[in-house]
This record gives sequence, C-alpha cells and structure tokens, in this order.
Amino acid sequence: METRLEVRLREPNPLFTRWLERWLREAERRQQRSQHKLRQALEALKSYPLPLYCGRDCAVLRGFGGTLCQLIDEELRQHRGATAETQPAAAATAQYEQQVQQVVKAVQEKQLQKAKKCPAKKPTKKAQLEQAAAEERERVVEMLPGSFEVLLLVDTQETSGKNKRVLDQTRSYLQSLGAEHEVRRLTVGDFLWIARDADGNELVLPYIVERKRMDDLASSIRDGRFHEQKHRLRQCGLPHVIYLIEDYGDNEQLGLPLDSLLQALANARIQSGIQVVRTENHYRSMCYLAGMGRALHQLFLSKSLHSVDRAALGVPSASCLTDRRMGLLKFRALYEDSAKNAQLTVREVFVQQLLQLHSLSMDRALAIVERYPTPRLLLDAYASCGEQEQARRLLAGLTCGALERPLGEKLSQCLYDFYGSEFR
Amino acid sequence: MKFPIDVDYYRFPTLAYKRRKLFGNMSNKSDKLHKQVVREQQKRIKPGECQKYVRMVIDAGFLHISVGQELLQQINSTDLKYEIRSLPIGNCIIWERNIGQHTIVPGSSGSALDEAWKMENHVLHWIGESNMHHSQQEQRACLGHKLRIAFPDCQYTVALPKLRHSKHSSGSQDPSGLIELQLLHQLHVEQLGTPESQELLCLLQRYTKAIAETPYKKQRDESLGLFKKYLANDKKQCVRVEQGNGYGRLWQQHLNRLPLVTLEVAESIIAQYPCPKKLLDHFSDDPTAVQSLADLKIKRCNGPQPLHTERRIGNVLSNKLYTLYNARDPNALI
Repeated sequence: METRLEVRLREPNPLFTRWLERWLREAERRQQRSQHKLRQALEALKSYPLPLYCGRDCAVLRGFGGTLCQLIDEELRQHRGATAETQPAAAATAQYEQQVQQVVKAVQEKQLQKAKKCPAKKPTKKAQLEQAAAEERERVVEMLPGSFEVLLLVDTQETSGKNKRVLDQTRSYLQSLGAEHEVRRLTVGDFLWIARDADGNELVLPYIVERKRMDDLASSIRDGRFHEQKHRLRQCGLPHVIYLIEDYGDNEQLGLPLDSLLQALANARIQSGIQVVRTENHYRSMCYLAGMGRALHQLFLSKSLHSVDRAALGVPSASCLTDRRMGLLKFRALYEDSAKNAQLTVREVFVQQLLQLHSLSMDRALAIVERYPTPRLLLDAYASCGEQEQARRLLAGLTCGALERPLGEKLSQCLYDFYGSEFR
Repeated sequence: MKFPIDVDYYRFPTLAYKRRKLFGNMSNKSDKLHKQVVREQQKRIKPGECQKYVRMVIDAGFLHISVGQELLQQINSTDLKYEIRSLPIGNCIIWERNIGQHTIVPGSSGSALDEAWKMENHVLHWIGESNMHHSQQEQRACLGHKLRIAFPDCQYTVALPKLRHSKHSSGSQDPSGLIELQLLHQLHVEQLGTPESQELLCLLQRYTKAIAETPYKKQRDESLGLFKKYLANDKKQCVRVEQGNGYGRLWQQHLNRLPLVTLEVAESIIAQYPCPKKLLDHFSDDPTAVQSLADLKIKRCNGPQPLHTERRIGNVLSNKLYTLYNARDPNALI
C-alpha cells in the first residue's frame, strides 16, 4: 500500500523571517508607518510553506512591495558576502531533496515496525462482504404477532417474459381487488407471500404459486420443462405448492390433447402432492390470489414467526397451521438457494456427464456414481487395476436399478476407452 | 448381452460360466426367490399393468343420490374395477391395491387375485349441490377434521359441482369457504362441470391411473430427489458411440455440462485437449496446469475483434475443470 507523505518545512524561510522581524521591531520602536506593512509581510511569510530564494520571489506574497523586496535583496547580498556562502541555489535544492529522502526513509522504517507489531491484516473488502453475508444468514429472526404484515410478491417474469402488458394487467387486477403486492424478481415460482416486519426482515409463508395458462402447460410438457419446474418447486423448501391453471379460451388447440393435460395435472396432484386450482381467466386467477392473501393474513395474524433454515424445516402436517409458533424460511435464503445457476456439486456434474452416453440410463449412471462418486475416484480405480483388461471390465458387474441388472461389458469398456485412450 | 433366466444352463455351459462370472454363484434358493419377488413387484407397478391391481371402493351412499346412480351406470363401460361398501363417511371413494401373491395371467378369465388389498392414501369426498348452501358452511369446515379422523394420513380431495360466480359477490370474496378449505384444512378441491356424473367418472379414471402409477414414479424419483438440479432431462443429446467413433462428440458434451462452457469455449478446449486423457495428463504433469489452462485463448468465430477483452478461458472455469477432475469429495461445489 502506498502512503502519501506531505513534507512541510517548519521554517521554510528562516533568514528572511528573522530580518523582517528585526525590521519590524525597529519600525515599531521608531513608530514608523512602515510597521503595518512589515507586520502584514511577516505574517504572510510565516504562512508561506515553500522556501524563497531572493527578494524578488517574495513579491508574490502580500505586503511585499517593491521597496521591501529590494531591501531583502540588499540584505541578502550583504549576507552572502559576509558568510561567503558557497552553496548555490541548486546545491541547496539538492540538499533539500536529500533531507526529504531521509524523512521518507524514517517514515518507512516506522511503518515497518508498526507492521511487525500488529501482523493481523485487515481483511479485503470481498472477504468482509462474505463474512457479513454469512453472519446475516446465521442470524435468527423473530417476529411477534402483530409486528409484521403479509405481502404478496409477484415475479417480474410472471408472464414468461412475453410482454410487460400482461404484468401490468396482473398489477391492475390486483390493485382493483385491493390486494397489496410488490413486484420482485423471484428465482422460483410466480407468486409468494412474505411476512415483513418494521426492520425489513422477510420470512416466506409456506405457500408458493405457479401460474400456468393451459397453452403454457402444454408447451412445457412437450419440451420437457414441466418436470424440471415441478422438481424445482418441490426442492425449494416451501411445503405447499399450488399450480394456478388458467383456461385458454375453450381449451382446444393446445398442442396436446386436453385429456393428456388433465392427466398430467392429476398426476401432479396425486403423485407430487401439488394443489391444482383451475380458473377461467386471468381476472379469476387474480381473484383467487387476492382471496388467498386475505385468508393467509387472517391465519397468520396471531402467530409468532421465527426463521429456520431449510434443513430444519421438517415435514409439514395439518396441525402446523394451527400452531401458535411457526418456523419459516428467510426470503434471502430461499432466493439464493433456488437460483437456477446455484452451484452444482461434482457428483451432479459427473452424473450429467455419464448420462450423455447413449444407452446409459439413469439407473446405470446412479449405480456408477454410488460406487465412484467423482471422476477422480473412478480414474484412481482404473489406475489401480493391474492390467488393462481388468480396468476395461471394472464397471461391468455393477448392479443397476431395482432388478439389479448388471451394467454390462460394453458400457464398461466404452467408459474406460473414453477416459483412457487418446483420440482426436 | 442378455442373460435370460430361463435358459437351460446345463446345455449351454459357456453361458452359465459367463453368467456366474457376472452375477456370482447364485444357486442360493432364497436369493432366487427374492429375485423373483422383486421381478414380480416390478411387473406389477409398471404403467399399463399397474391399473389391473388397483380398485376403487365406492361408498354405498352414492346409490341414493342421482349423481351416484348415473355414475354407476356409466362405470361398467370402463376398465375401472370397483366395489361398493359402506364407508365411515358418506359419499366417499377410496382406492385399494392388491398385494396378494397371485398375478393376473394374461388370457385367463376372471380375476384370480388373492383377496389381500391395501388402502392407498387418497380419499375423495363428494359434496352435492344441496350441501353447498351457504348456511352449511360450518358443516363443511368440520369436514376436514372428520375426514382426517376417519381416514388418517391421507390426501383428501373434495369434488363438487362448479360454482357459479354470482354477480353480487365481489371478485375476491370466498362465500363458499373453498379457499379456507384448501388452506386451513388442506383439502384439494375439484370443481366439476356438467354433466357432473360424467365429469366425475373422468376424474376418477384419471385419479385411478395416477394412483396406480404412484409406486413406479416414486421409485424413479427416489434417487432424483437427492439432487438439487433436475437431472433426467436431455435424452435427445445422447451420443452413440460405435467402434470408437463418437468419443470426440461425447467429450464435447461432457464439457458442455459445465455452466460456463459455451460453444467457442468448448471448441477451444478441445483444440488443445482433444480427449479427456490429454486434459487429465495436463493436470497431473504440469504444476501450473490451472494457470496455463486459464490462459488458453478462445478462438472467436468472428475473427479477432478490436473490442473483445475476454479471449482467455479464465481462472474461474479453469478452476472448475480442475475441481471436477481432481476432487475426491463428491459434494465439492463447482
């Protein structure tokens, strides 16, 4: 770290100062008029930080008129003659610089000593921020009944990014229904409710709503997003997931037979425990949300809430809702946890890589990862095989799935060759 | 290579030898039986087959209401199996799965199933038009509680005729207390259009199918649920490897699994390390491997552009690759 040093001479112009003082005393003694000007000049000279080398230089200062400067020059000539000053101005500057360097060295030595005394380095800004974030995550939030308000959060991308017009429509409907809400970027779901207290702490109520129009539902099933979305909703930590399914006209022309969609919804309800709510149009959907918001408000008003983290959330039961005290996730925690680009583990990436191979099914990939959870462990196993044949067959005997079918020689060889041979 | 269990291994000793090599010596009788049981189980939960082993139990109360009578008239023209019984709460339907020993043999007439049935954890309750009156709201509020006592640890659904939104009620009012039913009592609500009996029948068909397939789905999702990210997705991008061809493409796909890797980045890495072995050797041989990988230049498709700054792989991605191929802790974050 560089330190700036400001070097100020205590007495930049000792000679001139002394002369002026002498003249001032004389002028005062003789009650001369010049004393006023002299006094002014002396003050100015004393305040001036830089060294002046002749009378003419002094002219820049207040109170130094032509006469005074000449006087100084006179005096200087006499002084030089008297002391036989050998040092020209240049040498004086050099000496000055030398002295400055000495000062710098002295300061540096002092700094070194200081550093030795206290070796603890001040943490970098990044580290400080991380520490602050970690502390925030650890902090337990408590909210007493009546100390918080229940607020609906609407995702900014609620319309799947199509256009702002639909978002505006959402907002205007909600407003007309008297439902207070806030638009925010949500990493999971389209609608959430939070309990917010005066300090700005936010806890998420255990309900999450995903709104889907029938045509959106059909297209998401067709391109496979549906299952991924379901998975993310169930993993987010909020126990009650609600699909708000809105009719699209008369539900014909959806790209999939209506019956298939209804079966998908039944599956979601039965197998995934997701609540499915059907509405006729956008307005009715908002009515439902407004009604739900009101019901939640009533329900939670008299509860005392505290923050918990996902691991401690536990299984929700019907009796939870009648409890006086409820543990909820912090909004920040939910937001960070559910972000799509949240960090993956080595195991997850490894499984994904294995799945890239045709005929390597999920069952088989999981069997491999159970035995060798990371690529490095698999490679280590390969390396510890005595002969190549053994390594090629290393995975063949792994049992996969409920029926415990063996992985097979072909796949085992394929993987060994992939990781072990040099190809272009 | 398949190893059918029914092959006569005395006549084909080589196959027997190969099978033993892979499976180990499985002449143990109990092992065989266990295997058989598991195979049976798997067959029974398979989609398509599984519906044959699930039946509904319909409360006798349905016989006395019009929607029930119409329903029962139509139900025989479907594949749904059912029984009529007096259930603890009127107008309910529950589901049962056969867990007996015998399997349905295709082609045989009638059901030769053992009478061992286990209840599934779903209950459907029908609320008729007459019960939807405003004054009976309290009764409905107790419904959740009553259902829970009669059928503990289940998922509860109430089916009712579609509500007509009266012009008098403002948009967000909830006169029938449906929202409260959903929230407070955690009952699922299904509103049925007309004709109700037909709609109810369709609903029951869908539910039965979903319930029948639940064990299969559960088994499949068991291992998936452990992962944060949904993993079973892209089957379309699979690479077929035949006789050593296709490894290059597979390597590219492997690299693409990392979030930071774009097409250009992948190609640049492949240009330098055309196979995983080369990259792995680089990591193990070169002590400054991570740095030199980070400095690898990205060849941009558009040629050198004056304003493009990020022409290296970068430290972040380089570290991720290093972690991926060298970590022994499967939970290490990338």
